[in-house]
Amino acid sequence: MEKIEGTMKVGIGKKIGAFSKKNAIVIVLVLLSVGFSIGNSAFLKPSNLINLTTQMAINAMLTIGITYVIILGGIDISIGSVAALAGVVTALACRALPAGVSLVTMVIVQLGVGISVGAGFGAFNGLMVTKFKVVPMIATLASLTIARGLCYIFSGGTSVSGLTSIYSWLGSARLFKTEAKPTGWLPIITIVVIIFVIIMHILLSKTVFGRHVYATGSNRNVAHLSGINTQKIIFLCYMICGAMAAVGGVLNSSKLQNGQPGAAESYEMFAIASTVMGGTSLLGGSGSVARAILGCAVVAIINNGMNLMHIDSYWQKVVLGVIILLAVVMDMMQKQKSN
Amino acid sequence: MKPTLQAINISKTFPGVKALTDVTVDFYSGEVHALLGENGAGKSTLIKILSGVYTPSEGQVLLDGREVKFTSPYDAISKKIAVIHQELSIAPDLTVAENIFLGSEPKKGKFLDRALMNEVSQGILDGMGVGKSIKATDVARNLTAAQQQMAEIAKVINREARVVIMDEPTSSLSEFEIASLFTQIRKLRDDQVTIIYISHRMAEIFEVCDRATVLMDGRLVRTQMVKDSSEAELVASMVGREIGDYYNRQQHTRGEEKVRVEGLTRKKEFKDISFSAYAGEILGIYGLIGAGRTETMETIFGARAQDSGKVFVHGKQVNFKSPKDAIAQGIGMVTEDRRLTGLMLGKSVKDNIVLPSIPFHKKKFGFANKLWEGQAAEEMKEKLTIKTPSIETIIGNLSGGNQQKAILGKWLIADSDILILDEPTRGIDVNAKSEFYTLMNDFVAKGGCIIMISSEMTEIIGISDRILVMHEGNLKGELTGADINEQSIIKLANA
Repeated sequence: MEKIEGTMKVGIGKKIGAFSKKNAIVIVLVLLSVGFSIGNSAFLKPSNLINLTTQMAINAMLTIGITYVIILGGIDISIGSVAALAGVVTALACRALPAGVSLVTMVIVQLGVGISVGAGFGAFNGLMVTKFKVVPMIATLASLTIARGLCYIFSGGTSVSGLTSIYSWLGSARLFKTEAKPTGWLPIITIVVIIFVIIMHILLSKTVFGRHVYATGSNRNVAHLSGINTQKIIFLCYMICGAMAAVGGVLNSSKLQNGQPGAAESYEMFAIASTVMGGTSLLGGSGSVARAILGCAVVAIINNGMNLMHIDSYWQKVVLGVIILLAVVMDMMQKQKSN
Repeated sequence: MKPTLQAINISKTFPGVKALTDVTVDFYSGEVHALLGENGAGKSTLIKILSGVYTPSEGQVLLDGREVKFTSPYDAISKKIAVIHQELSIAPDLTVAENIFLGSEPKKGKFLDRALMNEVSQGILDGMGVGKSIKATDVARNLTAAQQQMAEIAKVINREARVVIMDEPTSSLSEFEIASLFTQIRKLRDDQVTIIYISHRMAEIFEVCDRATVLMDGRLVRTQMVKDSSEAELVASMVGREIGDYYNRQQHTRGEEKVRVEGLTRKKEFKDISFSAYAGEILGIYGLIGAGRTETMETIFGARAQDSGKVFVHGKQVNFKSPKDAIAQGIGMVTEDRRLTGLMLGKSVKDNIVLPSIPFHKKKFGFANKLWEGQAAEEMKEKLTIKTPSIETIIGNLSGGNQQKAILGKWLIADSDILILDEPTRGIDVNAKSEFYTLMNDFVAKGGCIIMISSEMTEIIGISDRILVMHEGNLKGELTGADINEQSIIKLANA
């Protein structure tokens, strides 16, 4: 009995420790914000913060999807290419639409085509991983090159342009026009991302499907022996991942009002970094969409800050790489401690 | 005679826990000395101090009467103290000889002297009497668990160890293999080696040990000659009270047929298995490793595909494609390996308990019922007396016995009425075992059906109402009532 009381006492300390570990990302975010606002008083202005949300929108969509796959203990490095392909294909499809098409139709076609492309590629990845037992890294590496190649084939190597102005509504329009801000202050892109974050966060944290994702990532054998169709769960997660990446690609293409075959190059790295910084373990079994999005905000702030400090863009890549490494090393150290 | 190795007034404190308090034990050469105690009694801490993994907080370790201060396992090895761990530490891709010489490879000039390594290794294996079945040049991966253990013993012999510590060496061996392990232990003893032997299996203690030291809650209870003691006496001193009939045997009333298997076959694993299991009984399945027991049960559970045969559950023929189908029919399975196939170690007690039941309690639109999850886990925690600070505690931090109770709870809350238990008490201490047997009896008393695989002879005899014996993929026979005894089981298992 003595021992149990002991562990209970330790329990409270542990709880505080676990809480700060779990929410380390919040602390980092607050510290960064404070730091930047001291350096530049404009930083905390609502308009700047809203701009920041538009800057992180694409990465946020990629991050939502890959969080599902990483929780499974898998990885998907094809999301950057898949996002670009979705952008190119959507741009081509929308260019073929008759002139004078309504905004609603446009948005439905954009999201419909984009999500189909992404979910299709995700399904391909899922099939490779579940049916053909290809290691996720290799399966998605193949998809990465295939999707990028298709980008250039479909677009003829140049960006797909000549799109109507409503094509850019999703990516660059704003709501609530005021006198001070005639273009509006609330970006559509932010609303779209927030809607997806909420839906995908709830799907993961509140539903039976979500429970099964965590279980499959924690121990696939146990999940299978507990009556979970793990193959189906894995397949669906890759599909979700592809679809979310595609939405990101569509938003990006809409923002630029064209389809760039070279878009979102190596964006998978930003997404993985965001997810890991948001506390999702690369070993699978734990993590959350909401926290991954906070990780995404950290990446955006760091990028933003480095731009403000005029750090060379090549060096920015080095810094980001180091940050990913630090996040992973910290994750592994925690895992070792708990073992 | 002077003791070889002595632990004098050893105490060891970890942050928040005093693992050992003032423990003094003498170990003599040429004796097999059992170290007994429940999980958490301090056995592991003591052997880790003796083998240099931990340094004691207080007290001394004496070797040949002189104090030694080990700062790493390497120090202990160099003083010829060797440990054979529960989980074998063999390098699977190296040959037996390479394993035997691991860390002390002989060289000829700058290069490895492979010829000498193989020659010496084979010599040791021959000396042990296992040279026919294990060759020095065999790759370790291709050996059975028992043969790997023999290779570990060969390694210890090669190092000319004076003290060999064995931590649950028989946990993955069959009765037959245990017998050959004991032969090696006796040989080592006759060569004046000191053997410190840890096991939860009382029968083994009486078979192979000369003296026994009992620890409880980090304190020494006593050291005594094994032959002057009895199982009941040793167990009582381990748990600090009389636990009466350890298996809590109860009279069960057999009810209707729950499972019937006809001619079940899976090529290369088992063939033509036919039997029935009933409500209100514990059906024991005994056999050596490789008898096909786990494979048969996993096939019934839908985790493996059958080649031919029929399975009936609740009187209806079934064809389970996956465990999901079996669970829907009220079958639950507690697997052999908790860490690999039983638990999500990084998840909470609650997450583990509710896992199979989540889909059955879902709300509209596929939402999980969080309220029910919490209540279900609390209910099982109370009912099965799972010792955990809370249902949110990570299950990997609980003791083996409590983990096993949680796994049982997982199937109870899923309303299973047929439980397949595969080695359910492996690696859990006496007290937890006894509690687990009580839970099994309660389940059967309420009309449940248990099919239990066990390699532990005393356990299977102690708790089963009926026993099936398997050998090399065949069902060899059935024992009931007075026929349930060691001789008849061994006869069937080796036939």
